[in-house]
Amino acid sequence: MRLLNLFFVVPDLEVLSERDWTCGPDLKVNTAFAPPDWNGFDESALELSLRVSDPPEALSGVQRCALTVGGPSCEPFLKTLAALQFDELIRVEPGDADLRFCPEAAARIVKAVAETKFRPDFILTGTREQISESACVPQVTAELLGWPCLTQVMDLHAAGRNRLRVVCAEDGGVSARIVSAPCVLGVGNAPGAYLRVPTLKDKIKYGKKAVTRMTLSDFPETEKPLADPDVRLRSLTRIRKERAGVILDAPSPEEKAEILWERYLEGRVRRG
Amino acid sequence: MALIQREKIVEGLVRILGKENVVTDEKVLKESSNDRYRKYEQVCGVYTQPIPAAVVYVHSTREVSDVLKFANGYQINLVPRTGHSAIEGGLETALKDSVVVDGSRMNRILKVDPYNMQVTCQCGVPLQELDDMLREKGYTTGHSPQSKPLAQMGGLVATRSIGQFSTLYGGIEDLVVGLEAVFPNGKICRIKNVPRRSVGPDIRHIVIGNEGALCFITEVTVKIFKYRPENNHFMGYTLDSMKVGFEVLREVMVEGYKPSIARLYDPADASMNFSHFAAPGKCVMIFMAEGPAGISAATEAGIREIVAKHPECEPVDPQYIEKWFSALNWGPEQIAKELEEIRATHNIGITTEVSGCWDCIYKIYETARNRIAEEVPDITMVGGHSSHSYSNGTNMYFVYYYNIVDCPPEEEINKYHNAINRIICEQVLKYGGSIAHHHGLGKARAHYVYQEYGSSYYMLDTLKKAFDPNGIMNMGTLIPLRK
Amino acid sequence: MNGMLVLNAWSADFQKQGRMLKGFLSERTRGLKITGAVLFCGERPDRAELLRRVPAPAAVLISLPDPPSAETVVRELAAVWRENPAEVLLFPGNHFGTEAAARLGRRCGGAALLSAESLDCESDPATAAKEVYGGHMKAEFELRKTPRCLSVSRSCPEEETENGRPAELLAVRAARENGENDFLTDLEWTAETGGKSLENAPFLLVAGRGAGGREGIALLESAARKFGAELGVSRPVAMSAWVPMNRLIGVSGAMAKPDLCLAVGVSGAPALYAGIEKSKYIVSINSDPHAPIHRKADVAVVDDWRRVLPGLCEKFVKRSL
Repeated sequence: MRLLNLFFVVPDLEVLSERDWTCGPDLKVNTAFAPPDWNGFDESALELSLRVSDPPEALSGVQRCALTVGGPSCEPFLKTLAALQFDELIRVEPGDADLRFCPEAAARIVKAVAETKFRPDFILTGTREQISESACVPQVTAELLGWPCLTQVMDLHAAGRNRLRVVCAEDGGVSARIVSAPCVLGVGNAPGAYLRVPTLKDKIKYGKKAVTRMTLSDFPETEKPLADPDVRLRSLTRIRKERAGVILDAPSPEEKAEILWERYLEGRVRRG
Repeated sequence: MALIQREKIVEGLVRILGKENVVTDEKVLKESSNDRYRKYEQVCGVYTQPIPAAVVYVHSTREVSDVLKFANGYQINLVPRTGHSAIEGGLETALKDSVVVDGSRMNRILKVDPYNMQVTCQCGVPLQELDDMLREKGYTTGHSPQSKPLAQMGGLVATRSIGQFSTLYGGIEDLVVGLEAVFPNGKICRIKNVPRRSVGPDIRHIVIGNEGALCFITEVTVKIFKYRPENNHFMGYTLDSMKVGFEVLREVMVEGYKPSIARLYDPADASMNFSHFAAPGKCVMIFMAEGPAGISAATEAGIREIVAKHPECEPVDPQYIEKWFSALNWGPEQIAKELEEIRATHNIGITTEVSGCWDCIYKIYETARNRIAEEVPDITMVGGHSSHSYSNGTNMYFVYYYNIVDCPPEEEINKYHNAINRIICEQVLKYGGSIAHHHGLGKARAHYVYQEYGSSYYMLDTLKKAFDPNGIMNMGTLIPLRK
Repeated sequence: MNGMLVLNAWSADFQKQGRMLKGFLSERTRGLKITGAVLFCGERPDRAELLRRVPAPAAVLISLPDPPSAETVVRELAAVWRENPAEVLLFPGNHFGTEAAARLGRRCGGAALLSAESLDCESDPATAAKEVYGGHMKAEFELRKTPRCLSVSRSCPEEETENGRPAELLAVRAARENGENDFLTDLEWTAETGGKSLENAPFLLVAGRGAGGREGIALLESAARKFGAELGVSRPVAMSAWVPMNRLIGVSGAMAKPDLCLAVGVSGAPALYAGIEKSKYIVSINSDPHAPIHRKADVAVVDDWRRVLPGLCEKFVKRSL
């Protein structure tokens, strides 16, 4: 079975202070100073990809490719994936191009890699990306490839050479199905799917695997959607959602509970 | 071992403190039987230490005295506690039917004295709260350990803690002015606030760092400083070699500069913290200067001049450093996040910090790091950083992560954590360093106390016998229990 | 500019889809005239009931023997659109809508935008806004190609549909799968368990990381029961699997609008806050004085919830007696 994982490395937005949430005429928020981290849903997708080889199904001979679009700060993450024995690692350097709100560009890169370089049975990626929140990349990728697509994947296991048992969150419930390749899988909230940690010995043994470094010029099909996007960013403004924020002051937590009840809640809470 | 049964212990405490201040809830007792030294056990909800008889909350020095007298009379082991953020086993209730004496409700700031540049507070005052309050007035304690969001003043003094800005302000031992402590026989001792005196040995040092093994700290007075963040200067560099890094740190200190922060990260630790600006394989050096504008600027200029003599050191945009620092401290949110990652990945990160003079610190770092990577199974990362420098040496803060493989929670500490500690301590002692720079000896490394002290162990032992003849103060801490 | 709505009557949240779309149309759009709707439904639906819930003047029903897959939905919609190319297609903000909007936009050569907070068809080109950067920033986008396929943000206001005029039935199309779902077999379906959903709960207790673990969650579950509140959780808690994923509150979970929300051990990051911002009244309990939730609450208690909640529970229980 051949699995292609698209993942993104994103800045840890929680370290930005209030004054950092501003943008210039280029409509970019400066997140360069925030440490990078896995995009949460992509991290789950990577872990699920590895689980295909775990017991009890323990499918052998699985080939995995990890693909990312990003700058040099992605390299340590690719190294981790090398240590986790991903077979191929590809980083596409975007240069100055702004791919934030252009899911089609990422989808076209995936398509090109899938059709010419790696040829996967399944493509896995996170349903949502933290900066753009586009939530479109799996679907657009599927449309470009002419493949089916399942999103909101919560779990998956091997179910044969080219099949996976995939659990998805849907409106009103959860579905589990046997899915035959090819298919694009958009991973959503997958409980407990945090990426495992490679040992130091594995990092030394496998971590030196070469990363294939490419640029956007290797993907001419991204030129048009970047130059002439379907959806173009026009403005970016800070959202502030604040309320009164009255700090309840009392010497002890028990007294705070009493004041909270008497002064603020008793009148609001309906009997029974 | 206590002379009376568990139920009698509880009864006695209720008589002294009242029922509402004596907790015997099973969950609270279990959680009070350990600290973050047994992080994995905490994650798994496993409790291997004897469950205490009670956790009691004291509200006054008088109550502390009464509780200690009671315990002393019946040989009940007591574990003094405030913020519950200890990481070396100092808070473990190592003896059967121990009692945890929690001072966190003695949380009043008693006097802010800007004229004498001092603040006096009870042992349960959270440092974060104290410092936030002072900052609003234009002052700071200058004390900022990573545990700041959780730690309280009593524990900070008891463990000889140190903060991130210690290279300028000093450790807690430099910040304490006077204090009040209660001894096992109930004696309340106050040491007055004076700038310095020469009236015999400095008895504050019996209390500072006693880790609850000699007395219970009830009140402290610490110095305060002017808070001038507008004068902060951040500097960062990437470089190839730890050896060069140690040389630069040494030169900065020897030349007489006092940056508030002077840190050196090895490539493994740097890649965990600074991958957004440090290429793989690079070490990272960080400085911060603060204080009066002229001194801060001159400190920055002086450090830059020293670093410039080493062309392999490439400067980094200071904003990276400033941002990184703003997210460094560990509050409840970070701890909860860490626990959830440990649960999900069975990968755990621990730290052990040591110190040594300049001529041995690199050897300590290099040999310990290599041995851990070679000898300990399932290691996923080992590295470290130096974060507190002096003219005669520095500390080394080892950071290591391992996967817990085929190992029940009860056995994790021996299979991995203690094995790593043993390697580090062996290497440190071999090259003449100290096995603990600022985390305290606790119970985790107490068995090294004889090698650490050598002939001076006599002094520690005598202090313990003198002040705690009945063996009721946090037994197992500093001096190991006899097996 | 003319537009068409798309709804899925197979789904248990069908009425909510209608309310979501109606609320969006009333309060968050300008310059859009809805001319019709497409409804996916079973082969013997209660047509009158369906058409009452559709906030459009007319509707086409696409009937299928089984709940449609995304593949089937997109295929059918593309066919309908080609016959009647509306400039805007509006989808509800559920899984059905977000999946279909993204794919249809691509398939028909248009523009897709998911979780739209607003749509302005009076500007040229039409623009839509949504939250980005983890909910910290609001982005406005030009929608430069037709059809403009948008799914509506689940945090938008809802409006009742049953009092409006029922849609006129234009046609019923019987659709059949055509092999597009052959890649799927052995379906097992687990319906969400019944009971009061988080989204309708009048009293909500939301637990974040500060819950501290499985036993903390158990305590909060017990407290919620005493309050008569529903328990929701933040994503980190849900990901730890201490509670089922359907307890998740926030942008990738439930969007609630309780009269009263107790946010316990919650930091206040935008992703979760989006799920409770419509609360009439928010109380935060978090021992971290710097937690953003305190600024976003009506009343903030900076303390340990384990010591605050027991007293509060007691008061509540006594009052109910």
